[in-house]
Amino acid sequence: MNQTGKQYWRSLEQLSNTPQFSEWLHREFPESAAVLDSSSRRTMLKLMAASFGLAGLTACSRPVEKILPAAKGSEEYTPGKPVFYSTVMPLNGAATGLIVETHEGRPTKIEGNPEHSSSGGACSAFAQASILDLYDPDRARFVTHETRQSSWDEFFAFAKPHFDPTQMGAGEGLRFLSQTVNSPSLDAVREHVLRRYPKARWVEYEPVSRDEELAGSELAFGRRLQAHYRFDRADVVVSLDADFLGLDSPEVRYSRDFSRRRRVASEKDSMNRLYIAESQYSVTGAMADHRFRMRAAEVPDFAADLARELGVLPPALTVLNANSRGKRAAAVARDLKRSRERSIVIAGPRQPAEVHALAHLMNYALGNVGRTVVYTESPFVPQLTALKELAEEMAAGKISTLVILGGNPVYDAPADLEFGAAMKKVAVTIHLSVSQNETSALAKWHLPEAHYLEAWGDARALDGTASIQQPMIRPLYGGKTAAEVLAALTGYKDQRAYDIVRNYWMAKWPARDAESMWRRCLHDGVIPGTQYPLVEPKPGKAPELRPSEAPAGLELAFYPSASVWDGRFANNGWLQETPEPMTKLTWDNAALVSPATAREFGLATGDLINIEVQGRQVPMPVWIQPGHADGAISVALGYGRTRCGRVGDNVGHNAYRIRTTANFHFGSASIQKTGRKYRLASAQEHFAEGRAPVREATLEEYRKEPHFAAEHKGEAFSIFGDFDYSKGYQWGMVIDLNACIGCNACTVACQAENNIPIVGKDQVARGREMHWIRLDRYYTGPEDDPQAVTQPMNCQQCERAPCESVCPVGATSHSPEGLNDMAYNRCVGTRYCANNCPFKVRRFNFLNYHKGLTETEKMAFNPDVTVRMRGVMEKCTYCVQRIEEKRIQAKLEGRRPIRDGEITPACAQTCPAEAIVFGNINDPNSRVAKRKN
Amino acid sequence: MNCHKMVKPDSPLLQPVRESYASGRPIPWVRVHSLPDYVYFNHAAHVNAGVSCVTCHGRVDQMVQVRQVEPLTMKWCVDCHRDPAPHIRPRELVTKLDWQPDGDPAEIGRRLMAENNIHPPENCSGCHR
Repeated sequence: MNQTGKQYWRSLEQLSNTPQFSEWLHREFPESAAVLDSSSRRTMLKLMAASFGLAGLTACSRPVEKILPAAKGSEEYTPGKPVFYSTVMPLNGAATGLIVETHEGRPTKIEGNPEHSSSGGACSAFAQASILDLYDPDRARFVTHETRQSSWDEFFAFAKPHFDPTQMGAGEGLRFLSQTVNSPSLDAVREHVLRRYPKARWVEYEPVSRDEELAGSELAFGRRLQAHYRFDRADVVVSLDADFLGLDSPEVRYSRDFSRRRRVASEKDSMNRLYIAESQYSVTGAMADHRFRMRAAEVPDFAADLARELGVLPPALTVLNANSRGKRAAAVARDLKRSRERSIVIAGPRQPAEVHALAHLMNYALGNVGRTVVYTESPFVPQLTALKELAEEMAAGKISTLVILGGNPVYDAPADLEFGAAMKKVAVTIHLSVSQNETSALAKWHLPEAHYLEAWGDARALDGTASIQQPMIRPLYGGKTAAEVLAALTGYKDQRAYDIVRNYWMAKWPARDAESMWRRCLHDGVIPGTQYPLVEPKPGKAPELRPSEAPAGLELAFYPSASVWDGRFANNGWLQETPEPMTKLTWDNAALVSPATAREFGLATGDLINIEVQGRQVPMPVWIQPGHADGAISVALGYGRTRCGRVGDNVGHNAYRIRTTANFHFGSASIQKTGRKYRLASAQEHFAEGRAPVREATLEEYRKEPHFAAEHKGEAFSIFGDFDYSKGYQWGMVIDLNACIGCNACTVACQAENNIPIVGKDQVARGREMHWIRLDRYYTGPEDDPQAVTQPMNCQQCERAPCESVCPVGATSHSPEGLNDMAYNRCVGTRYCANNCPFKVRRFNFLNYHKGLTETEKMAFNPDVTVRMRGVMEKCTYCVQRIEEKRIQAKLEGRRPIRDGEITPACAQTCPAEAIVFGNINDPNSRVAKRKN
Repeated sequence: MNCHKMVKPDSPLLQPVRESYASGRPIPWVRVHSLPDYVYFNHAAHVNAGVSCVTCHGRVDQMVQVRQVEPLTMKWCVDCHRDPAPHIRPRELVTKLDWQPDGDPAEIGRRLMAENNIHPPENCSGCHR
C-alpha cells in the first residue's frame, strides 16, 4: 500500500497551494471549460502539473478500508440484510399504516402496510417522502431559548416550576395549540393535563380543514359524524368539488377502492362512471368521465339542482339558466337513480356545510347509506372558531402561557387573526416542532420534536383502526414527543414515550394476554378491535340554500399543495421537485386561471400579478390552466416560506397572507398586473416530442374493438438481433391507465428506492429532472374544457432497444430476462442512448447532483443501489436490486422458482390504485400475463 | 467472550479481541478482499452453489496473515461465470480447503450444475445494480 498514492486523492487542495487551483476544484465546471480554447486548457494543465508534480501516480492503489463488526452482535440483525418494522404516519388527523425498511439500524424506505385499512399496502407521495424529513439537515438539533442555544435541562428547570399548579393555578391563562389529535395515548395525556388545569383550553388547528364537513353532518343529522365511502361498490360517483382521489382524502384507500371498480379486464367487464363539479383541475377531475367546470361558489347551485331532481329539495320557482342547468342535473340524476344503492354523492371540504348536508340527504334518498356510505362518530372537532377565540384572547393579553405542539400557526393561521402579533402579547410561548419555523422564531422556547420515524406513539386511521407508531432509530437530535413533554411538565404517571404508549394499551387488554398482544400489534401494525362502530343516523330536514350571486371580481380558492401539503414539507426536496399532477409545476405555486379569464385580463403564463383580498395582497405568477373554471383563480397553499431550511426558503409565494377567516376556502379577490415576469419550471413541456403514446377509447368502443391499443406503426430494429425469451423468466410490467390517478406516489417511491437526486428549479427548467418514472399528462378536446389523461412513463425495457444499439462503450445491454441493463461504471456520457430513446426516459447526470449532501441525507440512501456521479446515464431498471435479491433468496431456499408477486418494484408496491403490476410474462398464470392480454 | 476466555486467554495476539470485548468498540479489521462499490457481490449465492472458499481466497487456512491471491478482476469473475463447472463442488465440501476431487473436477461440476440448476448470471445486472 503506497502511502503517497492514498494522500494524493484525498487532499488535492492540500497538495496544491495555488488558490486558482483550489478555486477550480470547488467549481463544477471551471470558467475556461465554457470557452475551451487551447490557451486556457494549457493553463489548467500547467497548474495541475505544477501542483502535483505528477510523481505519486505510479503506485496509486486503493485506500485502506476497515471492516467494523458490532462488538456485541445481535441475533436478528445481519449486516446487509434489511429489517422491516411496522409503524404509522399521522397526517391531518388520519394515520397511514406503514412498513418501513431499515438498513443497519436506520430507516431507508417506506411502504404501505397491507394489513392496514387505510392503505392496503400502498401509500401516498407524502408518506414516501417523509423519510427525507427525518434526515433533514435543517432539523432542530437542540432546545432554543430566545434564539440562544439551550438544553432540555434548562428548559425543565424553568418549566417545571412554571407549570406547577401553585404557579399556574387552574390554568386560566394557559392554552395549548396543536394539530389535529387522533392519538389515543396523547388523548389520555391531554385529559390528564386538562384535569390538572381545569380552566386551560386545548385548541386544534390545521390549515387544511374539515370544519365544513363536520358542520354539514351536524346540519344533516344533528351530530358530528364521519362518512366513509365504499367506492368499490359504487357504479356512479358524483363529486361536488371533492378531490377524493387526491388531496381531499387523507388516506389512499379511496384510490384503491375506486380503481377496483374502474378496471376493465375484458369486454365483459363494466366500469364505474365519475361526475365531478369543480373549479381547479384536480386528479379526480382528470379521472372523471364528465367534468363540469364551475366556480367553487357555483357548486352549491349544482348540488341544489341535483337535490331537486332527486326529491331531496322541493322544486324551485325560479332558477337561473334553468335550461342548461336543468338538463345537466337531470342527466346526472337519471344516472344516479339507475344506480340506487350503488352510487355515491360526495362533497368536498371547501364546500359549505349546506352542500355536505345535501350530499348526505341525497345518499339517503338513493338508498346508498349502509351500502356505499356508512357513518361513524367523528373524533374531530371544529377548529377555526376555536382558533379565532384563542387569537382574540391572546391579542387581548389574557393568555400568559401558550404551548404550541407541532404546527406553524404564525405562517398558516388566517391572516386576519394576526397570530404572530398576538403571540408577542403572550408572556411565555413554547413551541415544539421537528424543524424551526416561522412560529419558532417568535416563541420564547423552541423544543426539538422527535420525528414520527424516531418516536413512540400511536395514531388512528379515519375508520378508527389504531396502530402503534414505533421508532426505527433513536431520536437523532434528542427530540421528544408532545406526549413526553406534557408528561414531564404535568407529572403524568409515565414519563418516557415508550411507557406512555405501552402502558396505555397494556391497560386495555387482560393482563394475561397483554404482553403477547403488545408484540402482535407491533408486528402486525394494527391493533385489532379498535375500529369505530358504525352508526345509523336518521337524516333531518334539508337545509336552505341561497342561490349563488354573481361574483364581485374573481373568485379566489385555496387548495393544499400536492407537493408540500400545507407547507410542512417545504424543505423536502423530493416533494418540491415532484411535479404537480396537472400543471407539472415544480418548486413553485402559481395563480391558475382559465384560458378565457387570461384572455379577458390580458395575462400570459409567467406574468407576475398581485392578488388582493380586502387590503392584503401577495404576488403570484400566472399559469394558464386548460379546463379551469372561468372567473376564478386557484392557488396552492404552503409556499413562500421564510424559515424552513435550505431547500424550501423563499420557494413560491405565500398564499396564507391573503387567506382570512371570511374567505377560508374561497372568496372574491382582485388582481393587478405588475408587468414583471416570473420564471416557472414545469416538467411536462419537454417530453411529449410531438408524440402521444396514449390511446383512449370509450367502453362501447372497447367492447367492439378490444385490441384498439395494440396497433403500432413501423418496425423496431436492433443491431443485436432478437433474443430468445421463451425460457426462464421474462420480466414485464403492465400499467393500467384506467386505474392510474396521477398521484405521483410512484415517482417519489422510485426516488426513495433508487437514490435519485433532486436537481433544483433551474435544472428542471432545462428539462434535467431525474425522475425514472414520470407521469405525463395529456389533454384532449377544446382548450377551455379538455379531458385529461395521465400516463406513467418509465423505461419500457424495449426488446429491440434503440439505446443499446448506439452505446459506444457497451454500458447498456439486454439481459436474458428481458431487462435493459445499465452498467453505470462503463458509461462515459455520450448521451447517444438518450437521444435514441423514443420515450425520453433516460436521465443523465449533467452535474454532480449529490455534491454537498450532508451526512444525515446520505443516511437516506438505499445501499442496494449505486449512487450515480456526474456524467453517468441512469434509468428505470424495474428495481433490478429487488429482482436480484429475490432471485438469490430463491436460490438459497433450494433453488425454487420465484413466485408471482414476490418481486414488486417500488412503484408497483406503492401505487394506491394498484395500477402497476410486475411479473413474469412467460408464466401464463401470473397477474402481469393476464393483464397484458 | 465465549471461546477466548478459555482458549489462549493470555496470548498477546488476542489482545484486540479482549480489548473489544471490554470496551465495546469493534476490532478495526483491515479489508483485504475488496471490490468496488458499484459491484454487488453476494457470498451466500456462491457458497450455496458450491464454490469453495479456496477458489477465490486461496489457502487461507495456511496463511499467517491473509493476503489476496486471486486478481478478483471482472474478467476473472466472468470467466468463471461463463464456465463454472471446474469450480463447483458438493456444498458440504466448500469449507474443506484441501479437498481433492475424485476424478475430473469439471465432470463433477457439470453434474452438480445440472442437478442443482446452477446458472450464474452473465449479464450486467447480475452484479451491477
